[in-house]
Amino acid sequence: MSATHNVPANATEQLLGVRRRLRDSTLRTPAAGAPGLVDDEFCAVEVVEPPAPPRPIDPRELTMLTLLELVLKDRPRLYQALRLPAATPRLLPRLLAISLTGFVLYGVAMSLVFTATGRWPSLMSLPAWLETPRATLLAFAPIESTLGNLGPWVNGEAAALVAAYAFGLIAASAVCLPSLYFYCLLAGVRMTMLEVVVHTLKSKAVAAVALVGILPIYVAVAMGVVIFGAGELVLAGTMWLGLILPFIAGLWGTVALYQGFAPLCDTMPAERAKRRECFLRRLVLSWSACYTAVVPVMIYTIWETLSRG
Amino acid sequence: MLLIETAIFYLLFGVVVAVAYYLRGGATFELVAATFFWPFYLPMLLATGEDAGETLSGKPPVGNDSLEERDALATAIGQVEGELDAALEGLDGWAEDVLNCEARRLVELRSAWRLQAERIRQLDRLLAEPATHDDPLAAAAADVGKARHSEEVRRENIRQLAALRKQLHGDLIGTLAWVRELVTMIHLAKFSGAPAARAEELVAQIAAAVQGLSEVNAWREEELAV
Repeated sequence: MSATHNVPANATEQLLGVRRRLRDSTLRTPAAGAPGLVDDEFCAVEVVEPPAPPRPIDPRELTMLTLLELVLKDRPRLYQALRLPAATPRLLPRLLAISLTGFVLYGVAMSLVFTATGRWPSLMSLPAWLETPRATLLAFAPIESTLGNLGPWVNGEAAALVAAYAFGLIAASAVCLPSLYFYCLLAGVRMTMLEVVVHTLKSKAVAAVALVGILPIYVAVAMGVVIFGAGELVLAGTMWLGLILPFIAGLWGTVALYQGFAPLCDTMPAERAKRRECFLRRLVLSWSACYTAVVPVMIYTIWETLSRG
Repeated sequence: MLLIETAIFYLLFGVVVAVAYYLRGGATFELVAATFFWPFYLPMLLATGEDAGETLSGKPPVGNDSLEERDALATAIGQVEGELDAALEGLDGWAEDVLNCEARRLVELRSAWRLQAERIRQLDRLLAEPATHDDPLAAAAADVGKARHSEEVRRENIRQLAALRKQLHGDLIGTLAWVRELVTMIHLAKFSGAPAARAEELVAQIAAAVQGLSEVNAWREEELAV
Protein backbone atom coordinates (compact mmCIF):
# COMPACT_ATOMS: atom_id res chain seq x y z
CA MET A 1 0.00 0.00 0.00
CA SER A 2 2.94 2.30 0.63
CA ALA A 3 3.82 2.23 -3.09
CA THR A 4 0.28 3.25 -3.80
CA HIS A 5 0.94 6.74 -2.53
CA ASN A 6 4.61 7.15 -3.32
CA VAL A 7 4.46 7.38 -7.07
CA PRO A 8 1.71 9.99 -7.37
CA ALA A 9 3.40 11.97 -4.60
CA ASN A 10 6.68 11.90 -6.55
CA ALA A 11 4.90 12.99 -9.67
CA THR A 12 3.26 15.86 -7.81
CA GLU A 13 6.59 16.88 -6.29
CA GLN A 14 8.15 16.82 -9.75
CA LEU A 15 5.38 19.07 -11.05
CA LEU A 16 5.74 21.42 -8.09
CA GLY A 17 9.51 21.60 -8.65
CA VAL A 18 9.05 22.59 -12.27
CA ARG A 19 6.45 25.13 -11.18
CA ARG A 20 8.81 26.76 -8.74
CA ARG A 21 11.64 26.95 -11.29
CA LEU A 22 9.28 28.26 -13.89
CA ARG A 23 7.81 30.93 -11.66
CA ASP A 24 11.29 32.13 -10.73
CA SER A 25 12.41 32.27 -14.35
CA THR A 26 9.29 34.01 -15.60
CA LEU A 27 9.31 36.72 -13.00
CA ARG A 28 12.86 37.51 -14.05
CA THR A 29 11.72 38.37 -17.53
CA PRO A 30 13.90 41.03 -19.27
CA ALA A 31 12.37 43.87 -21.29
CA ALA A 32 12.00 43.51 -25.03
CA GLY A 33 14.71 44.99 -27.15
CA ALA A 34 17.13 45.06 -24.27
CA PRO A 35 19.46 42.12 -24.75
CA GLY A 36 22.35 41.59 -22.42
CA LEU A 37 20.77 43.14 -19.35
CA VAL A 38 22.56 42.51 -16.09
CA ASP A 39 20.92 40.61 -13.29
CA ASP A 40 19.74 43.73 -11.36
CA GLU A 41 17.82 45.03 -14.32
CA PHE A 42 15.47 42.08 -14.39
CA CYS A 43 11.83 42.74 -13.43
CA ALA A 44 12.16 46.39 -14.48
CA VAL A 45 9.45 45.97 -17.06
CA GLU A 46 6.00 47.40 -17.30
CA VAL A 47 3.48 44.61 -16.89
CA VAL A 48 0.44 45.06 -19.03
CA GLU A 49 -2.77 43.41 -17.82
CA PRO A 50 -3.13 40.17 -19.80
CA PRO A 51 -6.42 39.60 -21.62
CA ALA A 52 -9.05 37.85 -19.55
CA PRO A 53 -9.14 34.11 -20.22
CA PRO A 54 -12.32 32.82 -21.86
CA ARG A 55 -15.15 32.30 -19.40
CA PRO A 56 -16.24 28.68 -18.96
CA ILE A 57 -19.54 27.84 -20.61
CA ASP A 58 -22.46 26.90 -18.45
CA PRO A 59 -24.90 24.92 -20.66
CA ARG A 60 -27.83 26.64 -18.92
CA GLU A 61 -26.76 30.02 -20.29
CA LEU A 62 -27.19 28.81 -23.89
CA THR A 63 -30.56 30.34 -24.65
CA MET A 64 -31.73 31.09 -28.18
CA LEU A 65 -30.75 34.74 -27.90
CA THR A 66 -27.33 33.86 -26.50
CA LEU A 67 -26.75 31.43 -29.35
CA LEU A 68 -27.83 34.04 -31.85
CA GLU A 69 -25.32 36.45 -30.34
CA LEU A 70 -22.59 33.80 -30.47
CA VAL A 71 -23.36 33.12 -34.14
CA LEU A 72 -23.11 36.82 -34.93
CA LYS A 73 -20.33 38.00 -32.64
CA ASP A 74 -18.34 35.22 -31.03
CA ARG A 75 -17.93 32.19 -33.27
CA PRO A 76 -14.92 30.71 -31.31
CA ARG A 77 -17.07 30.59 -28.17
CA LEU A 78 -19.83 28.90 -30.15
CA TYR A 79 -17.33 26.24 -31.24
CA GLN A 80 -16.24 25.92 -27.62
CA ALA A 81 -19.88 25.28 -26.65
CA LEU A 82 -20.24 22.71 -29.42
CA ARG A 83 -17.41 20.68 -27.87
CA LEU A 84 -19.20 20.50 -24.53
CA PRO A 85 -21.15 17.20 -24.45
CA ALA A 86 -23.40 18.47 -21.65
CA ALA A 87 -24.52 21.38 -23.84
CA THR A 88 -25.74 19.21 -26.72
CA PRO A 89 -29.32 18.68 -25.45
CA ARG A 90 -29.72 22.45 -25.21
CA LEU A 91 -27.90 23.30 -28.44
CA LEU A 92 -29.74 20.93 -30.76
CA PRO A 93 -33.33 22.24 -30.43
CA ARG A 94 -32.21 25.85 -30.22
CA LEU A 95 -30.01 25.72 -33.32
CA LEU A 96 -32.89 24.00 -35.10
CA ALA A 97 -35.26 26.75 -33.98
CA ILE A 98 -32.89 29.48 -35.20
CA SER A 99 -32.59 27.76 -38.59
CA LEU A 100 -36.32 27.26 -38.92
CA THR A 101 -37.09 30.85 -37.94
CA GLY A 102 -34.62 32.18 -40.50
CA PHE A 103 -35.93 30.01 -43.31
CA VAL A 104 -39.58 30.76 -42.48
CA LEU A 105 -38.80 34.49 -42.54
CA TYR A 106 -37.18 33.99 -45.93
CA GLY A 107 -40.25 32.11 -47.23
CA VAL A 108 -42.60 34.85 -46.05
CA ALA A 109 -40.39 37.56 -47.59
CA MET A 110 -40.25 35.69 -50.91
CA SER A 111 -44.03 35.27 -50.88
CA LEU A 112 -44.34 39.02 -50.35
CA VAL A 113 -41.99 39.71 -53.25
CA PHE A 114 -43.96 37.39 -55.56
CA THR A 115 -47.20 39.02 -54.43
CA ALA A 116 -45.77 42.45 -55.19
CA THR A 117 -44.68 41.38 -58.66
CA GLY A 118 -48.11 39.85 -59.38
CA ARG A 119 -46.47 36.63 -60.49
CA TRP A 120 -46.20 33.29 -58.80
CA PRO A 121 -43.90 30.36 -59.63
CA SER A 122 -45.73 27.63 -61.50
CA LEU A 123 -44.06 24.24 -61.05
CA MET A 124 -44.12 21.26 -63.37
CA SER A 125 -44.00 17.81 -61.80
CA LEU A 126 -40.59 16.15 -62.12
CA PRO A 127 -41.86 12.93 -63.82
CA ALA A 128 -43.73 15.03 -66.41
CA TRP A 129 -40.65 17.18 -66.99
CA LEU A 130 -38.45 14.10 -67.42
CA GLU A 131 -40.81 12.93 -70.17
CA THR A 132 -40.58 16.28 -71.99
CA PRO A 133 -37.30 17.84 -70.83
CA ARG A 134 -37.65 20.79 -73.17
CA ALA A 135 -40.62 22.16 -71.22
CA THR A 136 -39.92 24.81 -68.55
CA LEU A 137 -39.55 23.29 -65.10
CA LEU A 138 -40.41 26.49 -63.27
CA ALA A 139 -42.15 29.50 -64.81
CA PHE A 140 -43.37 32.74 -63.30
CA ALA A 141 -47.06 32.90 -64.26
CA PRO A 142 -49.37 35.86 -63.52
CA ILE A 143 -51.50 35.35 -60.43
CA GLU A 144 -55.01 34.42 -61.51
CA SER A 145 -57.36 34.53 -58.57
CA THR A 146 -60.63 36.20 -57.67
CA LEU A 147 -58.80 37.58 -54.64
CA GLY A 148 -56.23 39.28 -56.85
CA ASN A 149 -52.62 39.16 -55.75
CA LEU A 150 -53.65 37.83 -52.33
CA GLY A 151 -54.85 34.59 -53.91
CA PRO A 152 -51.68 32.54 -53.14
CA TRP A 153 -51.93 33.52 -49.46
CA VAL A 154 -55.49 32.19 -49.24
CA ASN A 155 -55.23 29.05 -51.39
CA GLY A 156 -52.13 27.83 -49.56
CA GLU A 157 -49.52 28.42 -52.26
CA ALA A 158 -47.62 30.82 -50.02
CA ALA A 159 -47.71 28.29 -47.18
CA ALA A 160 -46.40 25.63 -49.60
CA LEU A 161 -43.46 27.86 -50.54
CA VAL A 162 -42.65 28.62 -46.90
CA ALA A 163 -42.96 24.95 -45.85
CA ALA A 164 -40.93 23.68 -48.81
CA TYR A 165 -38.00 25.98 -48.12
CA ALA A 166 -38.08 25.73 -44.30
CA PHE A 167 -38.44 21.96 -44.25
CA GLY A 168 -36.45 21.19 -47.41
CA LEU A 169 -33.31 23.12 -46.44
CA ILE A 170 -33.09 21.37 -43.08
CA ALA A 171 -34.33 17.93 -44.14
CA ALA A 172 -31.77 17.84 -46.96
CA SER A 173 -28.99 18.13 -44.40
CA ALA A 174 -30.59 15.24 -42.50
CA VAL A 175 -30.40 13.19 -45.70
CA CYS A 176 -26.71 14.08 -46.05
CA LEU A 177 -25.84 13.45 -42.39
CA PRO A 178 -24.50 9.91 -42.82
CA SER A 179 -22.21 10.99 -45.65
CA LEU A 180 -20.82 13.82 -43.52
CA TYR A 181 -20.21 11.38 -40.70
CA PHE A 182 -18.29 9.04 -42.99
CA TYR A 183 -16.39 11.92 -44.54
CA CYS A 184 -15.25 12.94 -41.06
CA LEU A 185 -14.13 9.41 -40.31
CA LEU A 186 -12.29 9.34 -43.63
CA ALA A 187 -10.51 12.55 -42.73
CA GLY A 188 -9.50 11.01 -39.41
CA VAL A 189 -11.63 13.30 -37.23
CA ARG A 190 -13.04 11.23 -34.40
CA MET A 191 -16.59 12.48 -34.10
CA THR A 192 -19.75 10.87 -32.88
CA MET A 193 -22.91 11.04 -34.98
CA LEU A 194 -24.34 13.41 -32.38
CA GLU A 195 -21.43 15.82 -32.81
CA VAL A 196 -21.90 15.71 -36.58
CA VAL A 197 -25.60 16.53 -36.08
CA VAL A 198 -24.84 19.52 -33.86
CA HIS A 199 -22.19 20.84 -36.26
CA THR A 200 -24.57 20.46 -39.20
CA LEU A 201 -27.32 22.31 -37.36
CA LYS A 202 -24.83 25.00 -36.40
CA SER A 203 -23.96 25.51 -40.07
CA LYS A 204 -27.70 25.67 -40.87
CA ALA A 205 -28.20 28.27 -38.15
CA VAL A 206 -25.29 30.34 -39.49
CA ALA A 207 -26.72 30.09 -43.02
CA ALA A 208 -30.19 31.08 -41.76
CA VAL A 209 -28.79 34.10 -39.92
CA ALA A 210 -26.82 35.12 -43.02
CA LEU A 211 -29.97 34.69 -45.11
CA VAL A 212 -31.96 36.95 -42.81
CA GLY A 213 -29.10 39.45 -43.08
CA ILE A 214 -29.17 39.42 -46.90
CA LEU A 215 -32.96 39.42 -47.10
CA PRO A 216 -33.65 43.15 -46.48
CA ILE A 217 -31.17 44.06 -49.23
CA TYR A 218 -32.78 41.64 -51.64
CA VAL A 219 -36.32 42.77 -50.80
CA ALA A 220 -35.30 46.41 -51.29
CA VAL A 221 -33.78 45.58 -54.70
CA ALA A 222 -36.83 43.50 -55.71
CA MET A 223 -39.21 46.28 -54.65
CA GLY A 224 -37.13 48.74 -56.66
CA VAL A 225 -37.45 46.51 -59.70
CA VAL A 226 -41.24 46.30 -59.21
CA ILE A 227 -41.78 50.00 -58.45
CA PHE A 228 -39.60 51.32 -61.27
CA GLY A 229 -41.11 48.83 -63.71
CA ALA A 230 -37.97 47.16 -64.98
CA GLY A 231 -38.31 44.83 -67.95
CA GLU A 232 -39.57 41.23 -67.87
CA LEU A 233 -36.06 39.85 -68.07
CA VAL A 234 -34.86 41.83 -65.08
CA LEU A 235 -38.01 40.87 -63.15
CA ALA A 236 -37.50 37.18 -63.90
CA GLY A 237 -33.82 37.50 -63.01
CA THR A 238 -34.70 39.13 -59.69
CA MET A 239 -37.17 36.37 -58.86
CA TRP A 240 -34.65 33.66 -59.76
CA LEU A 241 -32.06 35.42 -57.62
CA GLY A 242 -34.55 35.31 -54.75
CA LEU A 243 -35.08 31.59 -55.17
CA ILE A 244 -31.34 30.84 -55.04
CA LEU A 245 -30.70 33.23 -52.15
CA PRO A 246 -30.53 30.37 -49.56
CA PHE A 247 -27.74 28.80 -51.60
CA ILE A 248 -25.74 32.02 -51.53
CA ALA A 249 -26.29 32.30 -47.77
CA GLY A 250 -25.36 28.63 -47.53
CA LEU A 251 -21.76 29.60 -48.33
CA TRP A 252 -21.52 31.12 -44.84
CA GLY A 253 -22.87 27.86 -43.47
CA THR A 254 -20.23 25.89 -45.37
CA VAL A 255 -17.46 28.10 -44.04
CA ALA A 256 -18.86 27.72 -40.51
CA LEU A 257 -19.00 23.96 -40.96
CA TYR A 258 -15.35 23.83 -41.96
CA GLN A 259 -14.31 26.25 -39.20
CA GLY A 260 -16.09 24.01 -36.71
CA PHE A 261 -14.44 20.84 -37.99
CA ALA A 262 -10.89 22.18 -38.45
CA PRO A 263 -10.09 22.51 -34.71
CA LEU A 264 -11.28 18.93 -34.25
CA CYS A 265 -8.07 17.86 -36.01
CA ASP A 266 -6.60 17.86 -32.50
CA THR A 267 -8.31 14.51 -32.00
CA MET A 268 -5.85 12.93 -34.42
CA PRO A 269 -2.10 12.42 -34.01
CA ALA A 270 -0.18 15.63 -34.57
CA GLU A 271 1.95 14.36 -37.46
CA ARG A 272 -1.23 13.44 -39.32
CA ALA A 273 -3.22 16.54 -38.38
CA LYS A 274 -1.60 18.96 -40.84
CA ARG A 275 -1.80 16.54 -43.74
CA ARG A 276 -5.40 15.64 -43.01
CA GLU A 277 -6.55 19.22 -42.51
CA CYS A 278 -6.37 19.83 -46.27
CA PHE A 279 -8.16 16.55 -46.88
CA LEU A 280 -10.84 17.56 -44.38
CA ARG A 281 -11.32 20.87 -46.22
CA ARG A 282 -11.87 18.99 -49.48
CA LEU A 283 -14.27 16.59 -47.84
CA VAL A 284 -16.33 19.43 -46.36
CA LEU A 285 -16.47 21.00 -49.82
CA SER A 286 -17.52 17.64 -51.30
CA TRP A 287 -20.24 17.33 -48.71
CA SER A 288 -21.41 20.86 -49.50
CA ALA A 289 -21.59 19.92 -53.17
CA CYS A 290 -23.60 16.81 -52.29
CA TYR A 291 -25.91 18.91 -50.10
CA THR A 292 -26.28 21.53 -52.85
CA ALA A 293 -27.40 18.77 -55.21
CA VAL A 294 -29.92 17.32 -52.77
CA VAL A 295 -31.50 20.58 -51.60
CA PRO A 296 -33.06 21.79 -54.88
CA VAL A 297 -34.57 18.36 -55.53
CA MET A 298 -35.93 18.20 -52.01
CA ILE A 299 -37.37 21.72 -52.05
CA TYR A 300 -38.81 21.35 -55.53
CA THR A 301 -40.45 17.99 -54.78
CA ILE A 302 -42.04 19.23 -51.54
CA TRP A 303 -43.11 22.54 -53.10
CA GLU A 304 -44.62 20.90 -56.16
CA THR A 305 -46.43 18.24 -54.10
CA LEU A 306 -47.84 20.76 -51.63
CA SER A 307 -48.87 23.16 -54.44
CA ARG A 308 -50.73 20.34 -56.16
CA GLY A 309 -52.55 19.43 -52.95
CA MET B 1 -42.74 4.20 -53.67
CA LEU B 2 -44.71 7.41 -54.02
CA LEU B 3 -44.00 10.55 -52.06
CA ILE B 4 -47.11 10.15 -49.93
CA GLU B 5 -46.10 6.68 -48.75
CA THR B 6 -42.60 7.92 -48.00
CA ALA B 7 -44.04 10.83 -46.03
CA ILE B 8 -46.28 8.48 -44.03
CA PHE B 9 -43.34 6.24 -43.10
CA TYR B 10 -41.22 9.29 -42.31
CA LEU B 11 -43.86 10.70 -39.98
CA LEU B 12 -44.44 7.29 -38.42
CA PHE B 13 -40.76 7.07 -37.51
CA GLY B 14 -40.96 10.67 -36.37
CA VAL B 15 -43.81 9.93 -33.95
CA VAL B 16 -41.91 6.95 -32.52
CA VAL B 17 -38.74 9.01 -32.02
CA ALA B 18 -40.73 11.91 -30.53
CA VAL B 19 -42.48 9.66 -28.02
CA ALA B 20 -39.19 7.98 -27.06
CA TYR B 21 -37.57 11.39 -26.75
CA TYR B 22 -40.39 12.60 -24.52
CA LEU B 23 -40.21 9.51 -22.32
CA ARG B 24 -36.44 10.02 -21.90
CA GLY B 25 -37.06 13.48 -20.43
CA GLY B 26 -37.42 15.65 -23.53
CA ALA B 27 -39.41 18.86 -23.37
CA THR B 28 -43.07 18.79 -24.46
CA PHE B 29 -42.72 21.65 -26.92
CA GLU B 30 -40.04 19.72 -28.80
CA LEU B 31 -42.39 16.86 -29.66
CA VAL B 32 -43.40 18.48 -32.98
CA ALA B 33 -39.79 19.26 -33.88
CA ALA B 34 -38.75 15.69 -33.04
CA THR B 35 -41.58 14.34 -35.23
CA PHE B 36 -40.61 16.33 -38.30
CA PHE B 37 -36.85 16.40 -37.80
CA TRP B 38 -36.32 13.02 -36.16
CA PRO B 39 -33.02 12.26 -37.95
CA PHE B 40 -31.45 14.98 -35.79
CA TYR B 41 -33.02 13.72 -32.57
CA LEU B 42 -32.30 10.03 -33.09
CA PRO B 43 -28.50 10.25 -32.47
CA MET B 44 -29.17 12.22 -29.28
CA LEU B 45 -31.68 9.61 -28.15
CA LEU B 46 -29.19 6.81 -28.79
CA ALA B 47 -26.29 8.68 -27.19
CA THR B 48 -28.13 9.71 -24.03
CA GLY B 49 -27.40 6.53 -22.14
CA GLU B 50 -23.65 6.59 -22.63
CA ASP B 51 -22.29 10.10 -22.52
CA ALA B 52 -24.93 12.75 -21.97
CA GLY B 53 -24.48 14.26 -18.56
CA GLU B 54 -27.93 15.77 -18.53
CA THR B 55 -31.47 14.77 -19.26
CA LEU B 56 -32.69 15.49 -22.77
CA SER B 57 -34.39 18.68 -21.65
CA GLY B 58 -30.99 19.97 -20.62
CA LYS B 59 -31.76 20.02 -16.91
CA PRO B 60 -29.20 18.34 -14.65
CA PRO B 61 -30.58 15.25 -12.92
CA VAL B 62 -31.62 15.94 -9.35
CA GLY B 63 -29.55 14.35 -6.59
CA ASN B 64 -27.09 12.63 -8.92
CA ASP B 65 -23.71 13.72 -7.66
CA SER B 66 -21.60 11.57 -9.99
CA LEU B 67 -23.25 13.01 -13.11
CA GLU B 68 -22.82 16.54 -11.75
CA GLU B 69 -19.16 15.73 -11.14
CA ARG B 70 -18.90 14.37 -14.67
CA ASP B 71 -20.17 17.67 -15.95
CA ALA B 72 -17.85 19.57 -13.67
CA LEU B 73 -14.82 17.65 -14.94
CA ALA B 74 -15.80 18.06 -18.58
CA THR B 75 -16.48 21.76 -17.99
CA ALA B 76 -13.15 22.23 -16.21
CA ILE B 77 -11.22 20.47 -18.99
CA GLY B 78 -13.13 22.45 -21.63
CA GLN B 79 -12.37 25.69 -19.81
CA VAL B 80 -8.63 25.02 -19.50
CA GLU B 81 -8.50 23.90 -23.14
CA GLY B 82 -10.20 27.14 -24.14
CA GLU B 83 -7.72 29.21 -22.12
CA LEU B 84 -4.79 27.22 -23.51
CA ASP B 85 -6.02 27.61 -27.09
CA ALA B 86 -6.48 31.35 -26.61
CA ALA B 87 -2.96 31.69 -25.18
CA LEU B 88 -1.35 29.63 -27.94
CA GLU B 89 -3.28 31.46 -30.65
CA GLY B 90 -2.25 34.73 -29.03
CA LEU B 91 1.40 33.88 -29.58
CA ASP B 92 0.99 34.87 -33.26
CA GLY B 93 4.00 32.90 -34.45
CA TRP B 94 6.12 34.18 -31.56
CA ALA B 95 7.08 30.63 -30.58
CA GLU B 96 6.17 28.86 -33.80
CA ASP B 97 9.05 26.35 -33.73
CA VAL B 98 8.39 25.03 -30.27
CA LEU B 99 4.65 24.91 -30.97
CA ASN B 100 5.30 22.69 -33.98
CA CYS B 101 7.64 20.50 -31.96
CA GLU B 102 5.33 20.18 -28.99
CA ALA B 103 2.08 19.81 -30.94
CA ARG B 104 2.06 16.06 -30.42
CA ARG B 105 2.61 16.32 -26.68
CA LEU B 106 -0.06 19.00 -26.37
CA VAL B 107 -2.51 16.62 -28.05
CA GLU B 108 -1.35 13.89 -25.67
CA LEU B 109 -1.94 16.24 -22.76
CA ARG B 110 -5.56 16.80 -23.80
CA SER B 111 -6.04 13.05 -24.27
CA ALA B 112 -4.50 12.39 -20.84
CA TRP B 113 -6.96 14.82 -19.21
CA ARG B 114 -9.89 13.07 -20.84
CA LEU B 115 -8.50 9.64 -19.92
CA GLN B 116 -8.03 10.70 -16.31
CA ALA B 117 -11.55 12.16 -16.20
CA GLU B 118 -12.94 8.93 -17.64
CA ARG B 119 -11.12 6.88 -14.96
CA ILE B 120 -12.65 9.10 -12.28
CA ARG B 121 -16.10 8.59 -13.79
CA GLN B 122 -15.58 4.83 -13.90
CA LEU B 123 -14.58 4.86 -10.25
CA ASP B 124 -17.59 7.04 -9.41
CA ARG B 125 -19.87 4.54 -11.08
CA LEU B 126 -18.19 1.68 -9.26
CA LEU B 127 -18.39 3.40 -5.88
CA ALA B 128 -22.04 4.30 -6.47
CA GLU B 129 -22.99 0.65 -6.87
CA PRO B 130 -25.02 -0.88 -4.01
CA ALA B 131 -22.35 -3.58 -3.51
CA THR B 132 -19.93 -0.97 -2.19
CA HIS B 133 -22.34 0.02 0.59
CA ASP B 134 -23.58 -1.91 3.58
CA ASP B 135 -26.11 -4.54 2.65
CA PRO B 136 -27.82 -7.45 4.46
CA LEU B 137 -25.08 -9.85 3.29
CA ALA B 138 -22.38 -7.63 4.79
CA ALA B 139 -24.32 -7.43 8.05
CA ALA B 140 -24.72 -11.21 8.12
CA ALA B 141 -21.03 -11.74 7.31
CA ALA B 142 -20.06 -9.57 10.28
CA ASP B 143 -21.68 -12.13 12.60
CA VAL B 144 -19.92 -15.15 11.09
CA GLY B 145 -16.34 -15.74 12.16
CA LYS B 146 -14.86 -16.87 8.83
CA ALA B 147 -16.74 -14.32 6.78
CA ARG B 148 -15.85 -11.42 9.09
CA HIS B 149 -12.25 -11.26 7.87
CA SER B 150 -13.31 -11.29 4.21
CA GLU B 151 -15.82 -8.55 4.90
CA GLU B 152 -13.16 -6.42 6.59
CA VAL B 153 -10.80 -6.86 3.62
CA ARG B 154 -13.65 -6.01 1.26
CA ARG B 155 -14.36 -2.79 3.14
CA GLU B 156 -10.65 -1.92 3.19
CA ASN B 157 -10.49 -2.41 -0.58
CA ILE B 158 -13.49 -0.14 -1.05
CA ARG B 159 -11.78 2.47 1.14
CA GLN B 160 -8.67 2.17 -1.05
CA LEU B 161 -10.77 2.61 -4.17
CA ALA B 162 -12.26 5.79 -2.69
CA ALA B 163 -8.76 7.02 -1.81
CA LEU B 164 -7.57 6.23 -5.32
CA ARG B 165 -10.46 8.19 -6.79
CA LYS B 166 -9.59 11.14 -4.57
CA GLN B 167 -5.96 10.91 -5.65
CA LEU B 168 -6.84 10.78 -9.36
CA HIS B 169 -9.18 13.72 -8.96
CA GLY B 170 -6.52 15.69 -7.11
CA ASP B 171 -3.92 14.95 -9.80
CA LEU B 172 -6.24 16.05 -12.58
CA ILE B 173 -7.33 19.25 -10.87
CA GLY B 174 -3.71 19.96 -9.91
CA THR B 175 -2.51 19.60 -13.49
CA LEU B 176 -5.37 21.70 -14.83
CA ALA B 177 -4.60 24.43 -12.30
CA TRP B 178 -0.91 24.25 -13.15
CA VAL B 179 -1.59 24.63 -16.89
CA ARG B 180 -3.88 27.59 -16.13
CA GLU B 181 -1.04 29.15 -14.19
CA LEU B 182 1.35 28.59 -17.10
CA VAL B 183 -1.20 30.10 -19.48
CA THR B 184 -1.24 33.31 -17.45
CA MET B 185 2.57 33.22 -17.47
CA ILE B 186 2.50 33.07 -21.27
CA HIS B 187 0.29 36.17 -21.31
CA LEU B 188 2.60 37.84 -18.79
CA ALA B 189 5.72 36.96 -20.77
CA LYS B 190 4.15 38.20 -24.00
CA PHE B 191 2.94 41.51 -22.65
CA SER B 192 6.04 42.20 -20.61
CA GLY B 193 8.09 41.89 -23.79
CA ALA B 194 10.00 38.75 -22.87
CA PRO B 195 12.17 37.11 -25.56
CA ALA B 196 10.68 34.33 -27.67
CA ALA B 197 12.82 31.79 -25.80
CA ARG B 198 10.77 32.47 -22.67
CA ALA B 199 7.52 31.65 -24.45
CA GLU B 200 9.09 28.55 -25.92
CA GLU B 201 10.13 27.44 -22.46
CA LEU B 202 6.58 27.98 -21.17
CA VAL B 203 4.99 26.06 -24.02
CA ALA B 204 7.45 23.23 -23.44
CA GLN B 205 6.53 23.19 -19.75
CA ILE B 206 2.83 22.97 -20.59
CA ALA B 207 3.53 20.08 -22.92
CA ALA B 208 5.59 18.48 -20.14
CA ALA B 209 2.51 18.47 -17.91
CA VAL B 210 1.45 15.32 -19.70
CA GLN B 211 4.36 13.51 -18.01
CA GLY B 212 2.80 13.95 -14.58
CA LEU B 213 -0.46 12.38 -15.64
CA SER B 214 1.27 9.76 -17.80
CA GLU B 215 3.47 8.69 -14.91
CA VAL B 216 0.48 8.36 -12.63
CA ASN B 217 -1.40 6.39 -15.28
CA ALA B 218 1.60 4.21 -16.13
CA TRP B 219 2.15 3.44 -12.47
CA ARG B 220 -1.45 2.35 -12.12
CA GLU B 221 -1.17 0.12 -15.17
CA GLU B 222 1.90 -1.53 -13.60
CA GLU B 223 0.11 -1.84 -10.28
CA LEU B 224 -2.82 -3.54 -11.96
CA ALA B 225 -0.48 -5.88 -13.85
CA VAL B 226 1.12 -6.95 -10.56
